[in-house]
Amino acid sequence: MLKISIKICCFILILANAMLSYGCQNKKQVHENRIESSIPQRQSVIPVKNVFYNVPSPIEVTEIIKKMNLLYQPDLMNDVSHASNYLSQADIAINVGVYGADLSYIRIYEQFQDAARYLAVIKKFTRELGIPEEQERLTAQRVEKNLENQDSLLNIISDTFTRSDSYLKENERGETAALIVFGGWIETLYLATNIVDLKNPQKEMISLISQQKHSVSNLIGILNQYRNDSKIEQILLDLKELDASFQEIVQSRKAGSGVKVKNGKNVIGNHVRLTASKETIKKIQSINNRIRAKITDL
Amino acid sequence: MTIKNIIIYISLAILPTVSCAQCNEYTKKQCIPQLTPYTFNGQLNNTVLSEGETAELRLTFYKDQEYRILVKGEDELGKLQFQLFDTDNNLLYDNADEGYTDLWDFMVESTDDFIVRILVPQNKNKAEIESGCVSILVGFRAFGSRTIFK
Repeated sequence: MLKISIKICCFILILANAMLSYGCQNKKQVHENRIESSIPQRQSVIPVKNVFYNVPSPIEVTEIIKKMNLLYQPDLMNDVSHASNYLSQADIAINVGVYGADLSYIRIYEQFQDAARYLAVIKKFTRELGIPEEQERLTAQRVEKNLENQDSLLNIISDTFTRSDSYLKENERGETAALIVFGGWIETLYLATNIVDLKNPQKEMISLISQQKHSVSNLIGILNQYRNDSKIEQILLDLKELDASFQEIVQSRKAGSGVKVKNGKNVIGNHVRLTASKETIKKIQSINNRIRAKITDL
Repeated sequence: MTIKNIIIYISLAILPTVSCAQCNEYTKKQCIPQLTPYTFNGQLNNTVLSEGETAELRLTFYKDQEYRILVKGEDELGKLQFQLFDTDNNLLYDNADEGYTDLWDFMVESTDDFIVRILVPQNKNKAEIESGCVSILVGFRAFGSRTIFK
């Protein structure tokens, strides 16, 4: 009887083994629709085992905003006093992303006092998500030492989010990592669409907002892996509505000239033009503001 | 059922959890540091692939930013091939043309969506099929930036 029980236990463990093999990291489940891509001139069809989707990090997008030399608008950010309203793990994760985007925005204006307050909230939240304490202590020491240095603050922000992403994925919590990415993306778009003066729009900001057309579908790709989660299922409905408004932006692409070397750098000579009407930008702003309110005004 | 058999079964059961953790450790320790002086985009893309298998990364590259793509696999996989396509499936870059380098620095003239495709080559000289961790990472920096991050 004992031998049979042990055999059953071992069988269950091996079955779990097989299931976990599909659950490693953030790989897309391809068992439903095997993704097939064609490589011209090479092979006709190649089955792809894993598809990853990335979206631009808030650090990257705020670096682009930095070049526009706009005034600092701290009132746009999600106030740290709202932190006590976020209780569920999902809401905490989303707002880690939101506050992370705000911190990236603060960094480009070198507002280090604001940076300290936002970093404190992010640290508290990452602790509540179970991300190990020693990373927090390290971050706190580095912040105190490097608070007056924009580049070091960049490093601290980047390290914090890299470690969180890594820890969550390593511990089979990819959906939590995805919610952080979602929060950061929504907040970054919120900042961009509310900084822009729609009566007299800056060309560069309209261009940056339009370019998010490319990344919204990748964000949907990230979250789609976890669509069985009810929170993520609702988020996906909202994002698909947002995606639909981005699809109104007209994209024209001309044949590229391949890779050139300019001043020692490899440059892909692609030609893409996006044309967005003011009405479309307003619609995007309106839908995104609503999504942002859902995740921050709890 | 001997103790030995029990140990074997339990080891098989925990293997994928160990593989996930080891793959992450490999990415963090062996791969992310190679993005310096670019800033890592914060999204870990890694998985265990076997010879002959393919993975893709879909993402946006912005004009006026500099990028580094890093594709690295554990030694047993040999040299990995990676290619960059636009979303019309036009091949823009193939590291096979540069001795299967594991990283490539570049810029784009227009912001657009791209696909990085990774192929693990098949080693016809070996009887066994090898598997290993493969990381696909992206770093960025503002054009003209020369900040060194410590």
